[in-house]
Amino acid sequence: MNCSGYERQMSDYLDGQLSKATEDELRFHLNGCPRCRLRIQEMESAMRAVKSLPAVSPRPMFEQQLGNLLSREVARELYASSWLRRVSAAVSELGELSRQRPVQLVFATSLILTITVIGGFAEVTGPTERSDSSAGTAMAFSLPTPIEPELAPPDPISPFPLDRELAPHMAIEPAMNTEQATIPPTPAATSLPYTTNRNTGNRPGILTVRTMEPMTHGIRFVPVGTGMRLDPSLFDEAFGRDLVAGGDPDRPAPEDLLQTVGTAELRDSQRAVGTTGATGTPDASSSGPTAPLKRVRISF
Amino acid sequence: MADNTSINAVQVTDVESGVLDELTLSDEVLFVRVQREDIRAFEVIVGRYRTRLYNCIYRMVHNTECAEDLVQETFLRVYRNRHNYKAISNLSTWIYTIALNLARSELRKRKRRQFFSLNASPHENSTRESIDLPDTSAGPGDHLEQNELGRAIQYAIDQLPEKYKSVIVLRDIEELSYEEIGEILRCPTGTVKSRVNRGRLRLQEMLRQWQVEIL
Repeated sequence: MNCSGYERQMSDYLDGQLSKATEDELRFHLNGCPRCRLRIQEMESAMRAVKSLPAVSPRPMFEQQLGNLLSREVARELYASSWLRRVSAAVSELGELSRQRPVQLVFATSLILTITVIGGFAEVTGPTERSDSSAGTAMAFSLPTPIEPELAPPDPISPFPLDRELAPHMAIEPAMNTEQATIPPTPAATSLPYTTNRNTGNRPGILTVRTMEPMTHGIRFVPVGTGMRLDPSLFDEAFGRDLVAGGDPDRPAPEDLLQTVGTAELRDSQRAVGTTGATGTPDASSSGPTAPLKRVRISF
Repeated sequence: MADNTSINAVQVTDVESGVLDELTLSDEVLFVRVQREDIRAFEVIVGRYRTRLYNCIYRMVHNTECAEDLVQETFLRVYRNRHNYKAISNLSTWIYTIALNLARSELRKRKRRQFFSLNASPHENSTRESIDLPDTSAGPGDHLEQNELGRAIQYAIDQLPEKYKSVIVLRDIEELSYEEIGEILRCPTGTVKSRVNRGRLRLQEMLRQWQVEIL
């Protein structure tokens, strides 16, 4: 072995890694080779110098930085693991649900997908429609939609039509206080014939109509005290009586009035407008012109 | 019933021994606890390896901030990959493998930066960090001598090729065995011995050229 071969064993010799025989052979060579002896001495010095390098420590703030970093990492991992557990639990629940109720799950999934697709489609097309509608206006914002009334205002109470069927249980009674009648007479009403027959003043007659079955057969309930003009053609002009309460004391009672309302002209007029109150006026249609009406049916 | 009693007794013993012998347990036993999400055991591991890893990495990269960053990254990787550790190998070997890989990657990046940088100085690191060498001398007369010697040796280590530098640091500074170095660097023991020998010869040649006298 030459010097280069012994040179490769020098490091092991210094570390005590050589076998006894190899170590003795190297020592024998070093005793006879001053170059290799100097080289191994320099190598040993360099090795000692490296080993003598002092241990360096990180800066004092490094401890806290490392602690903070590891704490964040632990917290992050815990957070991630908690979410992972939640997701895995949800997936397992879905799997269980799919085993128990597969049809319902498929239906629910398809429903959700449909709603999502429709919602996405509406989201895509929505702004375009809004831009088109607002293109004609220079306003940058959209005006609020006017609030439509939930219910249409009630129709005004109309006068009794002649072409309607009379209510089966209508009671016609004179208004107890005609002075409280607030509806002023119209010129047309004042020109009606019955107003000329009134005994108390020249004001139009006002009847208060109260139905006995307000909610049946489409009959509108009219509370007592509400003045409602009754078409005078319902009554016999030739009767010569005023239907307005508060008339002269000689006028007939309301029951008598009802019985005497039905005349031939009234029946003729009902027949002429095609009323269908056959049930309410059986006597009037069958018992001849002089038979009085027991009931007056008025429908609104 | 008897089984439950014995299990509880084992658990109590385990806990008590964990509290009492936490600092005397081996690294591998402690790391098994880390794998069972014992944060306290990981703190003990960090305390054991913090300074050793910093010293090793600092000798490799010779930069304080870079060494601190690499130590932090090493512990992060150790914690994130704790379930990949197999107890068949030493924990120190596994941790040093991670640290050395990071340090070697940093050296390669630095070499590329120096290659592409027109203004790069080859002595940038050694001159910048020379003041970080701690003072361990006994008297004022040895102060300058020790610092100068240490600076020269560190500069010589910096000049070594990466493969020799790794083995010199692991063998002469960290005092690991050839087998451990071979396991860390994933090379045969004979290769490690050869590199150690060549690295020492190169150091000796550099120190001789610089006429550094080692007492």
